Amino acid sequence: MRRLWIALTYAVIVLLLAVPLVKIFSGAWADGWSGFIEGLTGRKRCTRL
Amino acid sequence: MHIEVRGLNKSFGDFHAVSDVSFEIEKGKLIGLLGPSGGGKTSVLRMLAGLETPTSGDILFHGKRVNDLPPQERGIGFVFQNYALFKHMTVYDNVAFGLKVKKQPKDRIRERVMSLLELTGLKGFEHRYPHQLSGGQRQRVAFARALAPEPQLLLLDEPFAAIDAKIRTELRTWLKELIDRVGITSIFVTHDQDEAIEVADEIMIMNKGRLEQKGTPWDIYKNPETPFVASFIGESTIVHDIGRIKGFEEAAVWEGTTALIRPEYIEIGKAGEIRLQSATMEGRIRQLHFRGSEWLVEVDVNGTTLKTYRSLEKEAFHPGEEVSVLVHRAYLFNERDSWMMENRLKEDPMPIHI
Amino acid sequence: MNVRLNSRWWSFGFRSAIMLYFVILIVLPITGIYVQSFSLGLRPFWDSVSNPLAWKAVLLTLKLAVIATILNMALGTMVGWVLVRYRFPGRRLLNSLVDLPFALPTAVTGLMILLLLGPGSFVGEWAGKAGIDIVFHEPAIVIAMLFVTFPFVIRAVQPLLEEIDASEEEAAYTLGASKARTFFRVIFPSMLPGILSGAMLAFSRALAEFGAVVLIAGNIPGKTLVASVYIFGEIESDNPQGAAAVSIILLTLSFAILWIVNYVQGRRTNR
Repeated sequence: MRRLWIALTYAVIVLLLAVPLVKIFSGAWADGWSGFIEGLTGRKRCTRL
Repeated sequence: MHIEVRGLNKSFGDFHAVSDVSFEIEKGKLIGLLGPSGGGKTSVLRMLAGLETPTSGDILFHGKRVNDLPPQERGIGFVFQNYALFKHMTVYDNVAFGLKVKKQPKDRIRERVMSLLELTGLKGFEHRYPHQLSGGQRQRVAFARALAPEPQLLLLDEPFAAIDAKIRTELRTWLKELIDRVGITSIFVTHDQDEAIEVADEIMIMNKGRLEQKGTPWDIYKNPETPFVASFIGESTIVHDIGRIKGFEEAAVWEGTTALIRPEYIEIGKAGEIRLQSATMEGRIRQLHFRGSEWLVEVDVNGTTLKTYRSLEKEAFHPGEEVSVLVHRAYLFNERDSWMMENRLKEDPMPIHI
Repeated sequence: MNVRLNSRWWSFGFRSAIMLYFVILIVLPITGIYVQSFSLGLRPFWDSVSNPLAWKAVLLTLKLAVIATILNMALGTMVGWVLVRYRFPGRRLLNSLVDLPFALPTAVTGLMILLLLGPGSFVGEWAGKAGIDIVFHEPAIVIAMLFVTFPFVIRAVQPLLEEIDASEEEAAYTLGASKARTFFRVIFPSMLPGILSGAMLAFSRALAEFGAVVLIAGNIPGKTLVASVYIFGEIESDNPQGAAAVSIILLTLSFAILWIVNYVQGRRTNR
């Protein structure tokens, strides 16, 4: 019982909070460092969305 | 309920809270578990209740081993030090809780709760919440709640610790009467020796996880079996150099013997007031404390300070006054042994001179 | 004497500063909204509110906020319980992660959800194949609201759980109550005020959410356009009175909730 609750809590927090956080980092560097820098300086034009 | 405990041990990591405690309690007895804080009393109580698991040893109720029974199935009532009343329930619901668990019919529950509230003097308070009650009333609710499911054993953890000194004595007598009337085997934990002596049929003294002595209050007072019990019960003065006390010179023969002298073992008087003049010593009054019904006198004898009482009826002393001091008996102990010794000179007054 | 005089001046100064702060930052803007929404009289106010797009936006917001709040109550109670009652590796880390939604700009939250669930993402593709639309539909809005309001219930329940005296539970056990019965009859009633007040705050926050929702809702009028985005749209199309009218509906709801929270908490402290 105890383990089930702990596992559920892990699942909720990881899925809802941790995974999106990781995703946004991986998204920012999706095209590597050059893509990240271009994104910051605004020279990159988004082609994917 | 007849209770037996054999070789009970409880350790938390390296700390031995309870070591090798064994005892037996007869049905219907009211037992006081007495000792200094941290002596393992509460651990014993919690193990009896099943709230804590013994590291080793057996607990037997009616000759049946209950070690593996959860608290729900032990048939005990527990009164907690802070009462642990259910805050969001009324007095009625608190007392009825254990009966509702048993799925008793509503009118039966009502009858039982009302009779318990009557018994504990809480009639008319059934719709109050715990925070609307005084300490003494909460205590009584906790008591009624524990008694409601008709337990075979009642365990009370420092039941009066959180109550004003004034109401405490009143509640003590009330509790003793009530337990006598209900006829339930009960164990209560306390660190207050007056409380244990006044309320309990028998006292068990615990110190550092060990059971030091078990017996009636009078037995324990009269015949302490260990130095700890002797010093814990009653007031006393420890005298390391017993040879300096007149009448006890021969006790100094045993190396490392220490004496413990209770105030009531010491007689003190102005010159000529004590009859056994030959057994007295010269002393000087050091300090006087008024104790309400008597004087507590600190008297200096041969460099040792002894404490004793003096009745208010007798002529008062003044600090610095020269007095005669007679020590009637002393409790002596060393590493191997402990015994009571009477004043030698008192037993055999001046045999040569006559 | 001097000290007392000093402290009186100090207290006067503090009190006036706080009152001024309160008036400038809270009372004035709110009064402004009410004045603005009735600026053209009752009739235009009613017209703005009864515009189908307006009331559909408000209703949609209410519905989704209720769903998010109910989910939050269940999840928050569970997470709060686990974080307080159990000791396990990673507990501290999880506990600090709970505050993440408070720390993140909500636009970042929206982007996070978009990247995770949006078109081209693993989950998005998979859900699309299964015939479930997430992003640009109601589920995404609920997820955004859930994310943004996640800490409320947990943080409201935790102190109450810590406050519960272990002996109350033990007393229930010695009275014969099972673990489940003890939880529902003894522990849960003590947690309930926290769950309720946390849920109320979460609800009013969910009603107001803009940043996270605007990125992922699609904002189709009458379908996925929530009230806060509707207000934004009204301002953009130069209709401040219409924006204010919808605003005061949200505002009034928030006030009502705040009042209920206070009431619930007041009842608790009175006990």
